[in-house]
Amino acid sequence: MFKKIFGFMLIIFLLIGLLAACAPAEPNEPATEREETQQEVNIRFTSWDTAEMLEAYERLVELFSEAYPHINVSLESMPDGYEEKIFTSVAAGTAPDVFLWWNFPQLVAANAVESLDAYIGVPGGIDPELYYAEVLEHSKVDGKLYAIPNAATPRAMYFNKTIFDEAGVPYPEDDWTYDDFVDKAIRLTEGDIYGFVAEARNTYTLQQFIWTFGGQVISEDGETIDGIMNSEASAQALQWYADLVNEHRVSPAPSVAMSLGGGTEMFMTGKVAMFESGTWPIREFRAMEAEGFRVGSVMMPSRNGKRVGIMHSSGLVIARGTRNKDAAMAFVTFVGGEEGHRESGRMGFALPVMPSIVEELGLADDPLYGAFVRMVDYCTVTPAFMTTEHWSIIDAEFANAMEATILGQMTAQEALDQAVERAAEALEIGR
Amino acid sequence: MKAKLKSKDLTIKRGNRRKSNFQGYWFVMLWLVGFVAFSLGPLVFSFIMSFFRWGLLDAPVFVGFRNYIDMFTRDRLFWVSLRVTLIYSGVSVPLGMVLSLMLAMLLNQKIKSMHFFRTIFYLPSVVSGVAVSVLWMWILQADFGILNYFLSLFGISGPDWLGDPQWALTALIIMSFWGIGGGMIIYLAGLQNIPPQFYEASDIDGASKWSQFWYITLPMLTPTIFFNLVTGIIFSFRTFTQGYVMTGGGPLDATMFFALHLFNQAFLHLRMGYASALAWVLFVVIMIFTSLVFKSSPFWVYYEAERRG
Repeated sequence: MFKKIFGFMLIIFLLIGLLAACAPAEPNEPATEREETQQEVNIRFTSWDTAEMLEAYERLVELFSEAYPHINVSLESMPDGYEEKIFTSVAAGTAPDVFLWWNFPQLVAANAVESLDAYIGVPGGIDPELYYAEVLEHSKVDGKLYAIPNAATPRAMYFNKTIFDEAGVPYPEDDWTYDDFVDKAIRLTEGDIYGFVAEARNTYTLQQFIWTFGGQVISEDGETIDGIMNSEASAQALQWYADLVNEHRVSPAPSVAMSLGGGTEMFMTGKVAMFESGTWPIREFRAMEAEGFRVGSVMMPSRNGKRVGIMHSSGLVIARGTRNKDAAMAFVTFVGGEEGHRESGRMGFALPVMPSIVEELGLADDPLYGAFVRMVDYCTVTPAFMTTEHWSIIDAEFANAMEATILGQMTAQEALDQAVERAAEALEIGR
Repeated sequence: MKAKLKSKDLTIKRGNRRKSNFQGYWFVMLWLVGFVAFSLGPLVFSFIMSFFRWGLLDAPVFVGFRNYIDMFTRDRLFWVSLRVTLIYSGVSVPLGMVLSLMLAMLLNQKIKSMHFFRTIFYLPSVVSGVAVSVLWMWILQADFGILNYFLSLFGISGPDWLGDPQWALTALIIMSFWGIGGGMIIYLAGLQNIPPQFYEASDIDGASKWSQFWYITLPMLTPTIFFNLVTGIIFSFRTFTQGYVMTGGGPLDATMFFALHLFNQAFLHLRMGYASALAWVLFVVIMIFTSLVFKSSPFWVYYEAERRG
């Protein structure tokens, strides 16, 4: 009897062993590439981009393989559930060697990526002088560099010149104020055309308004939100933003905006006159300009002489424990280096994060890129997610507060007080 | 002596049967391996992890019952999501069952090209969850969605279904009836299993259509109803896609399904241990409801083979 059971178990284990053997084999033997043999190496690079944006990476991979013929890069695109998929693949030991990332503190806290400090200042490594200091700062956690920035964009305001002309409203200039902005938005809103489009849960963009009002979202050390996120200035800013929807009615209700395809889509279909975003849609705008679409961009307005912007940045990281670290590093320094930035900047996919390349491509004087380049200097405050690995938990409640205020269910102060209380409780779960 | 012999006989027989039973395992071996590797293993693992704090990539830290205690004392969204899920299941399951039974009865008529209609009504339940969700986002759209257009024909100005916290869950409940074709097909099978002589006999006795339904159809269908109820409860408690794709749990947590809360804890906040604890509590909740249905079944489920009295 026992023999049979034993035999049965044995077979099961053998089969499981077989399955394990089918699992992705360990990539090539370590250290071979260190030898000067230039043996072929395969690395995987994953991006969240699709369609046109992915073409930029295809081009960069192509250029890279011309420079490094012995390194094969396979480009993978994961448009949905990117973060979850990366996290689980890291846990399963099947992470791509190089991947695109933005929320570095969470990734670093999870011990998923290699620090790149050792490559700073060495030949063939990273020259920190080449980058905008603000952008490089975004790629660090606790002073250590974890990513090479490949793209970044501050947010600025786009405006539809045709709608402005039809309403007889003068175009905005860089020195405009919050009052000018609201005034223009009111005058531009007519019929089914809105002056502006607010986003219900976009706490990322909300931060720049809070900062400009003199408020903050979280303490510098990422430990405290009470008295900061719900401070008077922060509440004022949120109320001001929500009033664009509820009081001035210059922006559609969030769900209406969503079903009309969101801000970018509404702006491109001429449903909204002013729209605040990053450089992402410029390429598409350019294509539409040929068909008579007239668009301009301008810096974010200032309030009482104060203007604070916010920056999005992404960078290339190297998965911890990759067996092809040198090849991965070569790829990262290529794409995140001068050549990579020049190429992606030339293709018009993103704002290069190197002042020299920006100058070389003449982007500061570009009618659309210019405002974004000028905004870089105003991105002086660290976004909240950079200060704590637990931001996602706080942000869930922060976004609820933003939504409740915009839906007109609470005043900003009430909503933020509640968010602070709830976030504190949520942070304690399972501690 | 006689008794002894008998028991020996029995042992031999049983031994043989064991042998043939064992051979049976060979046939299900592949399934067994899959079950151990992909179901039982993760199941046991998640139970163990529910006592740990674990961020997926770091080393797990044992926290005892902390996860379970915090769930009931600290986690606001635990109660919110439980409530949302209970309301959703409590309304969509019974209503869906009634509707799918009605549909099945309609499609059980002897009319020409009935197969065509059966296919048509079953088709929606074949479409994948995400595609259905995207489709319904358009149907429920406030300004030019077809549902509000339909309502406007009656002079009703429909709400902003997915944007209004008061209506979002209702909208998703309405949407759940999209999948009644699945229940319908099972009812249809159940209906066709009812021997026609019952109806013939009752016709002769002068029974009305209503009493035929009430005294023949419904009792004969109880095993099918029982099956649909149990699977319906289990499926609806695990609802996830609509919340994830259409509303993200909002507005203001109005559609924060339990499974979505669990997913967010696991993959957004990287709390694998806590999410495992949530999963086990969900399991217990589903267990309670299904066992209630099972316990009550002797009182209302009738099987043809059984005799009462």
